[in-house]
Order: sequence, then structure tokens, then C-alpha cells
Amino acid sequence: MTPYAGLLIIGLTVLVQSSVMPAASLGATKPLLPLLVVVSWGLLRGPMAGAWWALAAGLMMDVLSPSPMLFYTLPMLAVAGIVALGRGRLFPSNLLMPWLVVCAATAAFVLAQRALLPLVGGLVTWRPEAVAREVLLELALNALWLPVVYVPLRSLERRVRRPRIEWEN
Amino acid sequence: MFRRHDRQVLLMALVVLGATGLAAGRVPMASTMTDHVGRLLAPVQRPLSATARGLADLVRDAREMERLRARVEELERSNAELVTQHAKFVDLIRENRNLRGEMAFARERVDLDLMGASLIGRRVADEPGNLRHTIKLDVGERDGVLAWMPVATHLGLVGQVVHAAPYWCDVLLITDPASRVEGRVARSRHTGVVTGTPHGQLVMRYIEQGRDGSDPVVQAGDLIYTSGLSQRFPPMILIGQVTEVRQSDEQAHQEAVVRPAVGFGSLEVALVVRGWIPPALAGEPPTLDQAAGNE
Repeated sequence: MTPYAGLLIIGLTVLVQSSVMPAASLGATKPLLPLLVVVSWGLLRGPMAGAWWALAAGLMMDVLSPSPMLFYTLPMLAVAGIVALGRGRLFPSNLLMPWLVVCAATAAFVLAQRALLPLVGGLVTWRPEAVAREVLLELALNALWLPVVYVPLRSLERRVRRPRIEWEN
Repeated sequence: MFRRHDRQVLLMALVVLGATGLAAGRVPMASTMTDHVGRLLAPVQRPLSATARGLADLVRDAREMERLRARVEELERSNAELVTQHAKFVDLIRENRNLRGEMAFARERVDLDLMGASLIGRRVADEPGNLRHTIKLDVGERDGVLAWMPVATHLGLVGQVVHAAPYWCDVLLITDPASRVEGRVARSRHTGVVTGTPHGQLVMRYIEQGRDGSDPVVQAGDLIYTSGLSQRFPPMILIGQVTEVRQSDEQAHQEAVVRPAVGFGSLEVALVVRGWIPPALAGEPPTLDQAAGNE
């Protein structure tokens, strides 16, 4: 798949995230489609592909947000790191793996953004019950929406996958 | 010389460095780039957002039909009482304006005539993530919107414009963790600072502790209005209602959890208050720290 097609997919995802996903929110929390796309593509195509998609998604979210640049890019790169750690630890066909990686990636994303909030003037408390509530709610929503993202991307990846030679695995 | 993997890592590092440069504000094209991107995306975001909200509203309304019927009856009764009060109110406003004119008051009370002092903006997009709370409105500099203008609805305070592009503007909601609004308890007249939290709550901080035996400084049910003390927001705009008080004898101040008057989840239009320019901002444009209430 060409990089332009990847940029188009990420761009559409970020656009839908800012315009449509607020309607699917639970309270003040909405599912994070760009995170799901990055995790899914990283698991399907490898950590380098996931890192590039994380960088592109993070930069696009930074452009759409009035927050300073890198407020989304750095946490998305942390998500790519989680995907790189998770890939290869379980059999790729294990159905639980995408969910497990999404859980870890969501926690990493939320905690990274919380750590960056004071740099943009945000008042943040690190009370365990407040942090746990935020992480668990976002985690639950992302886990619910994962099949909506993962299944189509898996079909797409199978169509665009080039045949691999044995020693490339 | 370099393996493909190394080239990719090097390229990624260069992109991150470039973004860091943008973040540090040393590349002047950063704000121009975001303005142009926002201008291109706004016509797409607006119908997407409206469609999604419409579908969500349909589903919600079907479930709440019975409750809505009861609510309509209650509102009709309320409306009849309000019509009578409105007539008295109009008369009071006229008398107030005459007196203010006679006493040469320089500033308008925009809370008395919010619609007349404002520009209506439609919500087209939200903050992509969950920890920050901002929205985009489809009005910008071409409509007379400037950064730092307050944004409200007839229900209460929404937030403040933090960036105005030619065709759209970013509004920092009062539920954002970086938002600071100087509030006043309507009953006791005590003041505090209302801040947002990552999960969309409002907390009023630095409220004076009450004295033993006297009326509580703040209690559940109290209404919180803007105080106007910092001159960043007009006075007497409703912020919300206290739901819980967190008080400890060991602390110098107490805190109150405030339920916002505006339902941000269902907010579709907002009023950008153009008819009130803070005296402190009449000259030089303010810094980000001033907007965050740190100065």
C-alpha cells in the first residue's frame, strides 16, 4: 500500500474522530479511533509501519487541536512503542492479542497525555481513583470499538500484502 | 551505507525534530499552516458533525418520549409565569439603563442582553482527544471574532476563544483543565477560581473557609456566577451549581464540585460575546498565561 493511501486513511480517521465520535461519547469520554487504527496497523504490518502511522496520526491531531504541537504526537509514539513490545509476544492469530495491546496502549496514551497536561497549563491531580476512572472508561470504549477498526484493516492488509520470502519474517 | 531500517528511523527523528521546532514556535509558518488546514476541513467537519449529532439525537429522543411529554407540560406552566416576569424585567432594564447613562457607566452589562451583544457560532468539531476540552465554531476573524472573547449561551458560560482564524475559531471550554474562571457564590458573595478537570468536571478552588457558627461560605445547591474581578469575562454569567463541597480543617481553603449550567455534550450553537472587550485587553494582545489566568 502506498504512503499516500495510508495518509488518506489516517486523515479520514482523524476527521471522523473530531467531527463524528463526540456523538458516540459516554459522558465526556469518546473512543479514540486514531489509537485503534495505529494499534491495528502496527499489529498487522509491523512496528515500523505502526510507528509511521502513529507519527502521522499524532501530527494530524495536533494540527486540528489548539494544544501545542506534540501534545498528541508524543503519546501516539508511546502507543507505537507498546505495539512494538506486544507484537511477537503472542501468536499473531490469538484473538485476545489486539485487545490486550489496545488496553496497554490506551493506558500509555492517557498517562502520557496526563504527564504533558501541566506543560499546557492544565491542573492535574494524580489521585488513583481519578486516574483509574479515566483510564478504565477510555479502555472500555476503545475495546468496544476495536472490532469496527481491526476487521476492515485486517481485510485491507490481506489485499495489499506482498508475498513474503521465508527469511523476511 | 545505511540500512533501510536506519534510514526510516533517521527520517522519523527529523520529522519529530521539525514538529518540536513548530512546538517551540520558532517556525513562523506553524499558525498559518493550521489556519489553512482548518479552513479546508471546516466545510467537511460541519456536515459530518451535524449528521452524527442528528442520528444520536434520534436514538435518544425515541427512548425519552414519555419524559419529554411531562417536561413539555412543566415548561408550558413555567412559560406562563415567565411571560409576566419578563414584562417587569424589561421595565427594570429600561430604568437601569437610564440610571447608568445618567451616572456615566462605561461598560454594558452583557448578561442583561446577551443575544444583542453576541455572534452565533455553530459547533463543527471537537478536540480529538479526551483530556482537553475545546470546540471549533464556524465563525472567525471575518465575522469580527477575536481571541480572548468570551463564549456563552442563554444557559451560561461556555468558555473563551483562544484562537481565531479567518473562517473559524477554537474555544477553550470551561471544563478544560487549563481553563481558569473567577467565580462568585451567589448566596455568600465569596469568590474562588473555577477550573476544569480531565474528565469534564468543574471544581471551584481557593474558597475561603467559613467561621464557626456563621452561615457556610458554600454549600450544595449554591449558584456560581462569573465575578468579573479579573476582567477576562463579563460579570454575572452563570457558570453552574454546586453539587459537593470538599472541606478539611487542615486546609487553608475549601473546594466545591460544580455542575456546569451548559450541557456541553449537546451544545450545538454558542454565542461569541463581541459586545464586551476587557479593559485590560484593549491595548496589546494578551499572552497565553493571561488567558490561562496565571497573570
